[in-house]
Amino acid sequence: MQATVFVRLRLILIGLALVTGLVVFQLLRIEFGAASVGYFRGLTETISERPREFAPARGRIFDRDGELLATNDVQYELSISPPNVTDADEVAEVLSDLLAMSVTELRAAAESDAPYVLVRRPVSAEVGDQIKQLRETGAAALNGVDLTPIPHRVYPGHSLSAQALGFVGYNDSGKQVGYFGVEGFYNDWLSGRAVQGVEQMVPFNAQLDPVPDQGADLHLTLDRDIQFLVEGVLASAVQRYGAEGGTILVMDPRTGEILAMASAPTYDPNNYSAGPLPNPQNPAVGGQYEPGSTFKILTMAAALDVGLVQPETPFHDTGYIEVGGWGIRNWDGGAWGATDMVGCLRHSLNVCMAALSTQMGPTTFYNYMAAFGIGHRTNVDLAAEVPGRLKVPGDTDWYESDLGTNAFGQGVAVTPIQLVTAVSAVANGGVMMQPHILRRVENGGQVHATQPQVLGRPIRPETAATLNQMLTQSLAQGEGDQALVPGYKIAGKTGTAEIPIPGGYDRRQTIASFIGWGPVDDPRFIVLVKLDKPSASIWGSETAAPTFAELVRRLVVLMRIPPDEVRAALSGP
Amino acid sequence: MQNLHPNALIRAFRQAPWRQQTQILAALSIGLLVLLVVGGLYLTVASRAGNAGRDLQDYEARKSELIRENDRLRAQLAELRTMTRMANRALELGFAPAQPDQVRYVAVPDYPYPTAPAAAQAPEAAPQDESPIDWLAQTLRQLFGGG
Repeated sequence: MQATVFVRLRLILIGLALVTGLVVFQLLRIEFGAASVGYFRGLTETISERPREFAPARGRIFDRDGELLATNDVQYELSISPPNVTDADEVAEVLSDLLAMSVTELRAAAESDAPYVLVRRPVSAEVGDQIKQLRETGAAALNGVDLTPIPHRVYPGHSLSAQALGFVGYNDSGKQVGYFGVEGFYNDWLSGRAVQGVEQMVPFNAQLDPVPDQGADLHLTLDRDIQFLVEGVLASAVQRYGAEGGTILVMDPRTGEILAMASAPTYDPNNYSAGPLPNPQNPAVGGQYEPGSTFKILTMAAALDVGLVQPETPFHDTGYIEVGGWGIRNWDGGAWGATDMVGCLRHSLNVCMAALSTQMGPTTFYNYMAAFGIGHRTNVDLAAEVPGRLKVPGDTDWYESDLGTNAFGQGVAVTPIQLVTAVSAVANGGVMMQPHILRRVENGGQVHATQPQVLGRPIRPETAATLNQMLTQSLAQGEGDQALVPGYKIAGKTGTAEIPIPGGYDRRQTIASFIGWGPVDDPRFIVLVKLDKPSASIWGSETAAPTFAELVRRLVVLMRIPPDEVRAALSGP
Repeated sequence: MQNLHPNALIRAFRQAPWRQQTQILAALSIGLLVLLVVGGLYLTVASRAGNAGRDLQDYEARKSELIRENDRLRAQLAELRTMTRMANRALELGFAPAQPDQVRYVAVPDYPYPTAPAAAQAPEAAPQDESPIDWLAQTLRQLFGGG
C-alpha cells in the first residue's frame, strides 16, 4: 500500500517536471530560437511604447513694455475610435449639436470599420471642454470620442499690429509655421526645436519626458499704446478722406526702432483665413509706390551735400524744363519765378528738383540715392520686404529723362520703410540707423538685447542740419502747414504722387503722403502718413498733412515729449 | 525479548524512510520559502516601481495640463487687457485722451531724462543686397561713364 503511494507520487513529480520542462523549453524557444521571435518582440514594443515628437511651446511676443501681443492657447483634434464606441447614435447626436455637422456623417464615422477617424481639426477650447464635461459627468455615452490637445496661436489684440506680427498657420504635416511679419521672420527662434523621443505606455518603464528647446520670447520695439493710436488715426483718416487704404509708420530716428506700423485695410490674425489677406500683407515693407514730392528731401540733401547749392541759392522757375527730351512741369503747371532753395521746397517745385539732379549728373545723383538705400532692401527684421525700384544708368529701361523725373519722386518706387529710413538720416544728423522691430530676446533665462546699429552716413551732419532748418521753414510757410503741431518744431514734406498705369499716369487718383519728424533739435519720432487714392482731396497737403498733425498731437503726450519751450527751460542755460 | 543495542536503535531511527522524507520535505520547504521571500520582495519592488512609474506618468500629464491651463489664463488676461477694452472702459469712466495743452510739465532736478541708447559701431553704408555682379556692373558703369 505504502509503496503504491510512493510510486504514484513519483509519477506525479515526473509529470510536473515534464510539464515544467516543456514550459521552460517553449520560453527559451520563443526568446531565442523561434522564427516568431521578431513578431513577439514587435508586439511587445507596440503595446508598451510608441515614438513621439515632444514639441516646445511657441515663444510669445510682447511689445516694448511687456504687453502681450501673441501667446498660446489650446485647441483640440477631435477623432473617433469606432472599435471603442458603445453608442454610435448618441455619439453622432451629441457631436452634431456641438460641431454643427450632420448626424448621418458622424454616425457613419462612429460605425466605420477604421480604427481611427479624424472628425475635425481644430476644435475650439470651448467645444472641447463641453465634450470633456459631458464625458466626465456621464451625461452622454461618448466612449470612443478622443480629444487630442493641439497648440493654438492667439493674438489678444486681434487686428492690432496684425501686419507687423504676421500670423501662424499649420503646414502639411500639421506643424505650426509663422507667416509674414515677425512670426515669419523669426519663425525659427519662436518655434524652438522639437525632440524625438519614446512615450512609454508601461508604468515600469516610465521616464521623464525629454525637454525640447523652448521657443524664444520676443520683445518688440512696438509700443502698444502708440500702435493703437496710429491704427485709430489711420482708420479715421481713411474714412474721412475716402481713401482705399493707407499706411502709417512711426520710427525713432535715433535708434531705428519701429514704434508703430499700421496699414489699412487690415485683418484679424486669429482668423486670417476668414477672407482674402491684404496684398501685400504688410504694405509698410512689402508695398512699393512712387513717393512723389516726399522724395525731394533726398534730392535736396544730395545737392546740398555735394556743395551744388545753399539754402539761399537763387533759382528762377520758368515752369518748364526738358530733360532727355522729356518736358517737366510743376505740380500746378505754373511758373513761380525768382525763388531760392527754401522756396523750391516750400512750393514743391518739380522743375527746380529736375534742374538740381541734372546739374549733379547721373553718377552723383544715383550714388547718393544708393547711399540712402533707395532700390535696396533695408533688411528690416520683418518678412516679405521688397527692394523697391530705382532704375540707374546702364539698366535697359533707364532713360535720361529718368534723371529729371526721379528727382521729384516719379519713376522710382520705394517702400514706406525704405523712405522713412532714408529720410531719418536727415532727421538724425546725417546718420541712417538700421530699422528694426526686435528689442530683446529671452530664452531659458538668457536675455539678448538688440543694439541700435548705424546703417550708413549718406550725408554730412552739416548738410542734415541745414536741410532740417530749410524743411522746418518751408513747412511753416508752405503747402504743408496743416501738419504743424503747436508748441513743437516739426520738419517735413508733403507728397502727392500720381499712380502709374500702363502708358502713363492716372491723373485723377494719387497717393497722398506726408513725412515729418520732431522735435527738430532732438528728434524722437519720424512719421510717414500715406493715404491711397483719397477721394475727398488728391493732395497730400490736404489729407496726409492734417492726419500727421492729428497723430503727432497725441503722440507727443504718449511719448512724454514736452513742448519746445518747456524742454528749453528744463535744459537750463 | 530480544536485547537491542542502543546504537542499532539510533541507526534504525536515522535510516527510517519517513525521516529521510521529512528531511527532503524540509529542504524543499526551505527552498520554497526562499523562493517565496524572493518572489515577494520582487513583487513588492515591482509594484512600487509600477506605482512610481504611474505617478510619473500622472505628473507628466498634470504638468502638461497645467501648462495648457496657464496658457489659457494668460490669453484670457491679455484679452481682458486689450487696448480696445481698456480704452472703452476709460471712456465709460469719464476719461479722455490727453491733449498737449492739458499736460503740465514739472521740472524735477536730476531727473533721468530718457536718452537714446548708444549706437553700435557702424558698418559702411553699403546696399545690403548688392551682389558681386551688381558691384562689378556698377564699377564698370563708373569707369566707362555708362548712361
